This record gives sequence, C-alpha cells and structure tokens, in this order.
Amino acid sequence: MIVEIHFQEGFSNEKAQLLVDGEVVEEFFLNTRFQLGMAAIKKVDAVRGTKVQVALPDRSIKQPVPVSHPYVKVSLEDGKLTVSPTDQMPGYV
Amino acid sequence: MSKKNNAPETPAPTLALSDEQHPDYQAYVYGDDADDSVAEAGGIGPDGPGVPIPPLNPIPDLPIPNIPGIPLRICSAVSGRYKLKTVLPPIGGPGIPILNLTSITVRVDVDRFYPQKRISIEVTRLLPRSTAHLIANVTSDQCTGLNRRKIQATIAYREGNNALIPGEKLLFEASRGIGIGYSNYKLTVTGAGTPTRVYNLDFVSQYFDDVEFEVDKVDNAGNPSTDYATHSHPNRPASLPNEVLSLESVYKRAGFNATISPNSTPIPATGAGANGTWSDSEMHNAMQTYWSRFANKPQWALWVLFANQHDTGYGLGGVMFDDIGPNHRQGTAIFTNSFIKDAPVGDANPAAWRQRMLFWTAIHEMGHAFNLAHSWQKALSGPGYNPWIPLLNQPEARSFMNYPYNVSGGQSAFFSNFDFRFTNEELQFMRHAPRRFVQMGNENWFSNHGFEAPQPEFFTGRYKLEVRPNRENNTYSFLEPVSIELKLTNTSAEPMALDEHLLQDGGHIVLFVQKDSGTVRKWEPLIVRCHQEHKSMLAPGESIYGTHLVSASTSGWLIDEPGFYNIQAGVDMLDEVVMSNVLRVFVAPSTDKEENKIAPDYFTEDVSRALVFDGAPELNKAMDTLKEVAEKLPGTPASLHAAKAVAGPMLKQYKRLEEKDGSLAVVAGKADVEEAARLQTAALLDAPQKAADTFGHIDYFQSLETLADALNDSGKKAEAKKVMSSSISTMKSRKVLSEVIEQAEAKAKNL
Ligand SMILES: [Zn+2]
Repeated sequence: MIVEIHFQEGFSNEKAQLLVDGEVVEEFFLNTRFQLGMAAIKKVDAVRGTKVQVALPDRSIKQPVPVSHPYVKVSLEDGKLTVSPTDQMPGYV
Repeated sequence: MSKKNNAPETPAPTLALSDEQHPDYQAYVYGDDADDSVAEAGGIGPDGPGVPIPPLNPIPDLPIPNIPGIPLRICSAVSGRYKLKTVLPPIGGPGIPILNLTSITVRVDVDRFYPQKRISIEVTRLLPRSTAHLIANVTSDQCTGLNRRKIQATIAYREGNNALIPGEKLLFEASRGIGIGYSNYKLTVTGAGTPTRVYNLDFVSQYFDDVEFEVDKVDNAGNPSTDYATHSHPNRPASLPNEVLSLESVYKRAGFNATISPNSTPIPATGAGANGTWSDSEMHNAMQTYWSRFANKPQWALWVLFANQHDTGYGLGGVMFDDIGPNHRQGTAIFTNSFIKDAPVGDANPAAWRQRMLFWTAIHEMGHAFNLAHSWQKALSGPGYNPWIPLLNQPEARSFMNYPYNVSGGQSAFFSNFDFRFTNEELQFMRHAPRRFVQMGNENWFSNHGFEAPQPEFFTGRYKLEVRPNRENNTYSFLEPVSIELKLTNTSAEPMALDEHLLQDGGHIVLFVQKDSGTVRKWEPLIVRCHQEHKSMLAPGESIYGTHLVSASTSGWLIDEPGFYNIQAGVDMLDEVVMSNVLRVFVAPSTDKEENKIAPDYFTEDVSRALVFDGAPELNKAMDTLKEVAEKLPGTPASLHAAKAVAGPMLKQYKRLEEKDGSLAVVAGKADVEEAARLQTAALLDAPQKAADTFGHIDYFQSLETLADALNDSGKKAEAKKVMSSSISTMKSRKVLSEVIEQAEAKAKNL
C-alpha cells in the first residue's frame, strides 16, 4: 500500500533520506513552511514487511517508519524525530 | 406551516449584530466600576479550553437622566486611533508655517471589543527619517464625570528611536467641550529626567487601522459564501450570540476597519494551468493579474482567493501562499475541494459544519497575512523568524490560528468552546505591534537613523522635489562651498497656487546633511529672507527653484572634511511635507599644502557668513582669510567663492557701524567698483563654465547681473554689456530655461 510520510514541524534546511529495505531511495532537503506546519509529503509504495526508514544523515539519525497506517507524521523536536502513524489524512491550512 | 428536520432547531439568524447589540462590546465605563488598578491587563482570553469570557456590563439606553445633585459618572468608549492635532499657522501671520515633520499616532485599547488595556504610540519623523514605537500597559482607567476619562499607563515595550518620545508613563485624557460627547483628547508623557510632553490629539477612528480585502473566486470553486451564521451548527458555546459573521465583522472586532473591495473578478480555472490545480506561483500570477490593488509595496490590503484545489492535493485547505518576491503576505487562498469540506460522519448538520470550516479557514489564512503564526508555533524562533515579543505556545487555544482537529478532544471540543475571535496575545500583536510587522506586504526593513526613500503613503503625489548639484558630477574639491539647487515641480494635473519664493527664503524648507553613514545634522540657513508671501499659479509640469549653500549652517560647518555626504531636503506645503531624493556628494581630499594651512581659519562661522552674504566688511579676520584663499589658491573653486565675497562689499556703498568720537555712527563704505569688477570678472568670467559649476545657476547668473548693474551705475556701460553678453552665452551653452535667457537679453538691451 501507499504510505504518505508527512514531514511537519522543526525542519530547517535539513538533509533527509528515505530508505526502503536499507537502500536510500530518495534524498531531499526539508524546510518547514510555517504557514502550514509542513515541510514535504513523500509517498512510499510498501508491502507489509517492507522496512521503511527516515534518516537525517547530518544528525546521524535513522528512524523506522511503520507502514501499518496510510499516513505517518514526522517532526523534528529537540533534535529527535517523532514518528506518529495515523489513519486520518493530515490536513493543512 | 411547521417544518421539522433532523437538525436541531435553530432560531432564524439575525443579520450581523451592531456593535452595541453584541455582549462583548463595551460601550461605556462607569465611575463606579472605573478600574483604578488594572492588574490583569488584557483580561482573560481564549487561550485554553473552558476559559469563560467575563460578562460585561449591560448597555444602558441613552439618554440617561441626570439626577440633580448626583454627579453623573459615565464615560463612553474611547478605544481607537488618534493622531497629533494639526497645527495651522495663525491666519494673517507672517506666512511662515510651523514645520511639522513629526506625525504621532496613538492607539487606545481600553473598551469596545476585547479590550487589551494597552496604549501604543507610533512616532514618525519625516526628516531625517526616524521612527519610534512604544506600547504601554494600562494601570488605571477612571471615569470622573460625564465623558471625562483619565487613563494611566506604563510603557512596557519600546522599539526604534526612543529619543523621539522619551518617558516612562502615559496619561490619556478624554473630556467634553460644550457638547455631551468628547471633544478634547490629550496625551501626557512623563518620565524621570525628561521634560513632560503634552500632545493634543484628534480622534481619527474607532479602529486601529483600515484594511481592504478583495475576494476573488475561481469559476470552478463553487461560489462559496463568505459568511457564517453562528447558530447554524448546534455544537457551539452556549453564550455565543446568534448572528451572521462576515470576514469584515471578525476583523472589525479585531480592531481593523475592514472593507471588501467592490472590484471582485471571477477568475477562469485555466489560471491553474494544464493540471487544473493551483501552485503557489500560479496563484501569485493570478494575484498580480486580477487583484485590482496589486502593488509591490506594503499596504493595508489583502487578496483572498477561493479556488478548487492546490497542487499539494486534497489535504491542503488553504494557504497564505505569498512568501514569494519582495513583499510577502499579500495573498491567501482557500480551497473548496479539500479536506475542510469533510464533515465528520454522523455530524448533526454537515452543511453548517462545512460552512463553518470554510469560514474559519478563510479567517485563518487571512490571519497569516497579518503575520500571525499558528497557536502551537508562537514561541518558535530561529534565524530571521523570532516572535516579536517572547510568547508561549498555546496548543489548546480557541483561536482562528489553531488547528481545531489538533486540540485535545479534536474539532468538536474546539468548536464547543470557540467564540470566533483571536486570542488576547494575537490581538495585542495585531493592534499594537510596530505596524510594519503586521501590515501586508511589509518587511522587516528598518533603519534607525539616516536617510531613506520617502514612504509613498505620506505623499499626495502633487509635487516632486529634487535636490541636485546642477553640474555634471557630484564631486567637490576641498574648501569648495557646496551649493545645491532645489527644484519643486507641480506633478499634478491642476495648476497649484504656491509662494514663488518657497524654495529660496529658507523658512519653508528643511535640509539635512549626513557625513557617510554618521550623524545626521540639520542645516539651518544663515539667511532667512523675509518677504511678503506672494502666491502665484504653478501650471502642471512647471517648476520653481531655489539654491542654498549647504556647507555651512548656523551651527557651524556641516561639510568641512573629505568624504561622502548625503543631502536630503523637505519642503513644507502646509498640508504635506514633500521630500526630496537623497543627493550623495563627494568632497575630495586636499591636494595642496596651502589648503590645509588655511583650513582652520576657513572653516569658521565668520567665514561662512562672509561667503553667504557676499562679503561682510565688519568680519575683518574672515575677510582676510578669504583674501588669502583668493590669492594663494588661484584657480580653485574655493578661490572663486572667496574672490566674489571679497569683492561684494566694494560693489556698493556698503554701510557699516563705526565708532566716531565715542559713539556709533552709520558710515557708508567706499564703493570701489573698479577693483571689485576686476576681482569678480576674474572669478566669474575667466572660466565661466567652471564658475557656473561651483556657484550653481541661480547664484552665478544673479551675481553677474549684480556686477553688470554696479558697472552700469558707475558709468561703465560697455563693460556692463560685456558681462551680460557673457552671461547670456553661458546660459545658452548650459541650456538654461528660455524665459530666463529672454529676461537677461531684455536687461542687456536696456543697459
Ligand atoms: Zn495556517
């Protein structure tokens, strides 16, 4: 299924990587747009059992992303990534 | 006929409530409840769940009978915007107006909607440009009689140039004149070690600023309504008044005189490009094309677009898209085909839910355009994005700026408790922060001192004032007096009546000189020419001129060392101050040892007077210095000025006071036209272009005329004619206005 990863608060010119089964499939820079509280939305096609991870290489952070829900919210808070899966499509205004 | 449906009964909504009908509107303050210690300035706001809005006094019906013997202590609302009272010159006076280069705006916020118990003051000095902003917390608010109000406040926030309005405490007083309403408004600023200042104010508006919204809808956005009937959805605070809210009414209660532009245009969906959804830059393009007030400048105006969908997709309900280009926060968009139309399953009134969410989103996006952050981001700071004052995050706030679905209990908890208002902290920012933080299209530009391009809103566009050197380049040599020319042009389509000597007399102009980026010094003319005011008509496109030696002021020399200087002028037109461009000039370093030797004697007040007055025989030492300059620095621009000044008194029967037999007597000096003519001819006519460059046209040609007159009066007609003919040919080569040349030709003929 398609999992939407929503990068939300706390990113400022942050280099990020999306990894599937250990392979970097995408590398990008994240900047939170304050007026939305959102930096980027990335889609991953993942079957159950696929290992999806988000990495911030400049901070040596690598965090698994559950693929149990259609949406995953990811924020950077106090130098740590918080990852919260949800069934509810995150909305921005 | 009775009608029943599944939706709970809601009484038919009234139209928008008038201010006085609304329970949150405080129209009066009474002597009894006049607050002598406003401890909780700002009151309690909707910063978290379950915070009740304190009930306010019921509003009495006027007129209130005055019971004899009992002093009536009731004061109507004073919140709003005030400005410094306009001071006009006395009628029939000498015609020199009071040059008021400082504007003061006072925002008093103590009653009406959601009073924040604040007084803020904005001071703008036009020339040299400088601003100050302060916010004071109200400490007491007393009603001492019928419409006699005294409000005290302590300054708690300052920004900009404090010297413009020093002090610590404010007293705002509003009182009656002969009528029942207020007619006198006074602000007193006091502080330890600073003189007390009293400002008389005029009431401008009950609102803190005016703002215009233009609402444009894309033709496939479904023509959404921009109103919301507060009782249409059953999930609401029990105390919420039943009314129809509009975009304007919400912002009016926030303190802005919000109006909707009549120039709304339907926008074709093709503007979204081939994919049919809108990118930020497509919206920015549409804003430039369709917004009738689009301009790349700060203005209290905002474009609100209702469109179908953003490129981001269904998950984006709206966005303040305008963080593109130099002027941000001018445009917002709301997307009708997005998640904001998804009423929860089983909702009691899905249609009302959708309309409420659309309305909420519109106000939310517009709030971003007022520079409001989301409730959970208030404390967020980093390079280039600090909160204006330290703020706390308010993730539970019942505000237009919070996400309803992110609070504890979700959107239903939010709306059960939402009063359709901004928080106190948000209102304090919108009403009282330095206006450039809030105003759409504005940026954090700031210059505490020095020169800036004039702000367009200060001007009516009727006149243009130019400061220019009237020569090819802006470089002056060391010791060379800097003369500048002022040119005021009627840029309107109408003839304008004005005093033709406006630029020449020194009383109507202000001029500032700044060395490099250092201190700005005011130039005070050494001569103020008094004359009977003589208004004449200036046709559209026509100009008047004036010339001034700006190197020296009554306070000493302003330009006395090598380097770059900025010069800017303003002219007082009574109802506006027209400001000029900034002229940058360069003074070259000395190339001659002799110059450096003479400099200490030259840069004195007496020498500056002798130069400005074309010689001053009583200032012996100054005249000796000028003689030395003329003789020892031949060919330099300074020597030309010196020679002209040395010769000046000899051209006429110069009168001076002399001591004779123990008393003073007026003695006529000896006119030595021959010697004067020799000196001046050398200075003015040996190298006419160079001389015209350093003196400037007005001074140069006037001097030649004076010389010609003196020669003519002493019987040297042929020489006088020669002077005039040289003058005319220089005028022609320098493309002087034809009417000036014609006057000179007529004069030459009559010699
Ligand atoms: Zn927002």
